[in-house]
Amino acid sequence: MASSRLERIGNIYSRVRGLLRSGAMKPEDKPIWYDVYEAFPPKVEPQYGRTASEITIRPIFYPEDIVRAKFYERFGSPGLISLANNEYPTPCQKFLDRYKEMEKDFSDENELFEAVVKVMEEEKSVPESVSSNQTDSGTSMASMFSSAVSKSQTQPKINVGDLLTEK
Amino acid sequence: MAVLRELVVFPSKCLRGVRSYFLSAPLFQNGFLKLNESVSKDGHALDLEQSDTKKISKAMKSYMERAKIHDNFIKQQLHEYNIGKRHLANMMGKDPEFFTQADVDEAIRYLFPSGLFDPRARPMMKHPDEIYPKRKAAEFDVNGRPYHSLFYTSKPNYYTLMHDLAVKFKQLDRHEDKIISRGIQDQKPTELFLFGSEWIPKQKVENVLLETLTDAQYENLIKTFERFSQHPYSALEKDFIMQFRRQLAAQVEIQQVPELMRDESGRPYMTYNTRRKTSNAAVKVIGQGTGVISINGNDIHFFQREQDKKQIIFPLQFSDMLGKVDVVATVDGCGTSAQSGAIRLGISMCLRSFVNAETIERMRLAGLLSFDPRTRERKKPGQAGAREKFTWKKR
Amino acid sequence: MIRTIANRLKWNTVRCFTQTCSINSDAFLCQNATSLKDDQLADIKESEIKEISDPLRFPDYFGVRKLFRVKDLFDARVHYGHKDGTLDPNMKPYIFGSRLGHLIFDLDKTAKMLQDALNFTAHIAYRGGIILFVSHFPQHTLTVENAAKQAGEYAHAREWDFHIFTNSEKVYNGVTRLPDLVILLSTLNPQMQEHTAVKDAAKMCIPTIGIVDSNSNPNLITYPVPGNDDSPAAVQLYCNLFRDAILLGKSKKPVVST
Repeated sequence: MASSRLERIGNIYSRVRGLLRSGAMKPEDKPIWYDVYEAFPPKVEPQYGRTASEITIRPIFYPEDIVRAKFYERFGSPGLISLANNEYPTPCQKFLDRYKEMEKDFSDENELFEAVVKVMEEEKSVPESVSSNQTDSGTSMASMFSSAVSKSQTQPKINVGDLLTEK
Repeated sequence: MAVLRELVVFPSKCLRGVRSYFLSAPLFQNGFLKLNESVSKDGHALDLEQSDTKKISKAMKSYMERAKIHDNFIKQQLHEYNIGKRHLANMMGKDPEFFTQADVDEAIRYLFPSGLFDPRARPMMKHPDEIYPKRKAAEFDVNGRPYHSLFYTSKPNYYTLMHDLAVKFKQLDRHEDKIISRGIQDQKPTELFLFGSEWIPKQKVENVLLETLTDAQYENLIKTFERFSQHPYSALEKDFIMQFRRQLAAQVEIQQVPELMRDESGRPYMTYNTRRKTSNAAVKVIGQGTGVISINGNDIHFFQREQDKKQIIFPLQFSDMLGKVDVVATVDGCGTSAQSGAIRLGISMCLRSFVNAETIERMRLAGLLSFDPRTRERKKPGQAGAREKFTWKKR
Repeated sequence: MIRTIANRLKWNTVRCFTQTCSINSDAFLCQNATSLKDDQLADIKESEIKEISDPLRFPDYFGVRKLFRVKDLFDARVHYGHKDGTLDPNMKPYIFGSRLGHLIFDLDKTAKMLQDALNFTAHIAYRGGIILFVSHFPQHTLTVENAAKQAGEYAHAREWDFHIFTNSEKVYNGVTRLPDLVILLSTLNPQMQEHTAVKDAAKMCIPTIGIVDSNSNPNLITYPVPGNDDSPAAVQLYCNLFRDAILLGKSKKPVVST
């Protein structure tokens, strides 16, 4: 029985069709899948050298992402989140739900954000604010650094001069 | 009528079954249509024949051809074997009807004596089933569909074994989880005792699976088994694991220590015959003794050299039986070193019956119970001695 | 008169097939045929009979569309691709977008292509084709082999020997019937290169169905299904779907009397 092993030329259907038409393959040797392929051809023809389309991958962003970014900047990451568990919403999700509820009452985004924060803090639904001790709200890196600095200031310092003086 | 014939004859392969159903349908059974009259017998019969042969795939056809050739060959061999057996029986003057395989072997040994070393090289006549390896039965059915789900891996039995191991592993894990959830994890599971056995070698595994394995595949199998047997609950699958382990020979030997014999006066004794190089020794160790040593009727000074005397005493000293047993030995052949070595082994082997298992193990580790197989190496032609070469001259 | 009877026959059989599509409908056809005379039957041509009873005429003869919903794909994490940098250019049409560097598949497209693949599988199973499940990731071996066993088909989830398709006579010690469909649960091998089965099946004119992840090339695969091939949950889902499609195809098969 004839066969064609040239996988880079056409596709399996075109090759078998060619063999059948030319008589190299007898009709009774027709493969089982031939009729099924004819009835249900694939939407995109399989071809070895098919050129890739010039599509650019769009980044996926949602309007809520702005709120999420602000939330994480303020409160930091909660650590481990189980993606498989859909029952218990994360602190960020709860924050977003409340934000949506209160959206109609405020016109300014920042005001709305602060209001929601206040409400959530009263309910103790959010973790302790990372940048609550700071006067200036910088980037998260900056706020982490300043929090570390403030921590070190509370620790007792060793004065080298004292060590050397006689007591 | 002509149209109904067309109804019957469906050319497409997938409707083969439908055609056969049509034939049994009430349409024809009622006699509404007499098929044989309407359709030419030959035409219809031909159709069925074509379909039957079409059903048998090419794979099956080629397998059946090969199987036929092999069967004919085996039949021929069997026929020759039976005739040969009768000839041999006549030659040996025995009854051909009751000529067994043992008789055949004996006859061949007598009629065709061979000085060849390897038994497999000597002439033999065996039943063809013992000589020609069994072929694997057809692995696929009439349509060419293989029977085994893992047929296309080309090693279905090996990979089934690996699959079963994985499944059993999961079962043991689930068992462990159940026990933990019930809170009885303090209960220590019975440990799987693998001491004294080893994993069967690659050849044996291939014989069990009827497939050849690469070294990497065998190693992978053993590693998987090791991991499996390290599971805390692997004792549950002990039978399965032991199928692939074999007992170490040394374990079996140690257990066969002969029982002490009693002489007329009631004293226990043990005898053993040994040899070293070409000397033979017959040693008798008698219990409830005072340390009397007799060699060929003489005492220990039969051996003049210090080293030979030490050899005799060493097993007694090692097992703390120095003044507790008497030794009577006869020895001949070779030289003093060989004779003393033979007697030493004889004394050690006899002492096994007097001493506990721990001491036997210590004696075995000390090398007292090992036969010394060293013999004088022959001189080779072109050399001065066994290893010594003639003077090498550069030019 | 003749025309109405013929029409009634057609209507009855079509109604049968849309409902059950089982051997009983062939009986229905026969029973209706008994009530007709020869000359009336002459109107019903052979081609029409074929047309009525041919499964290929129906867009979803085996009902594979009912096997899954898009939500099932989402729950099984089928939409997760790899990162931006590992994207194969040929997979771009199937990507919904990139979420902070992680590629997400368009599940609507995936669902459509998966339906096509399942339909094809069911038809091949209906015609008694040999279906081979292939995967090279050790993590998924047990899942794939179990699915194949349950479907009554074949699996090769182990190290792939290069000559299995192209030099089968040598490998299997004799002429063997090669698979009529290869289902790849992952088109890559552990070395992150294209699985040999893809090329070899294309060489031997064997159609393939393959789960193509964002770092795989779908060009040589007859019915690619873009989706996640790494999560055990996703692979379990695919195995279940293909197994069910095969069993559906086999259940409709008329009993062949030997």
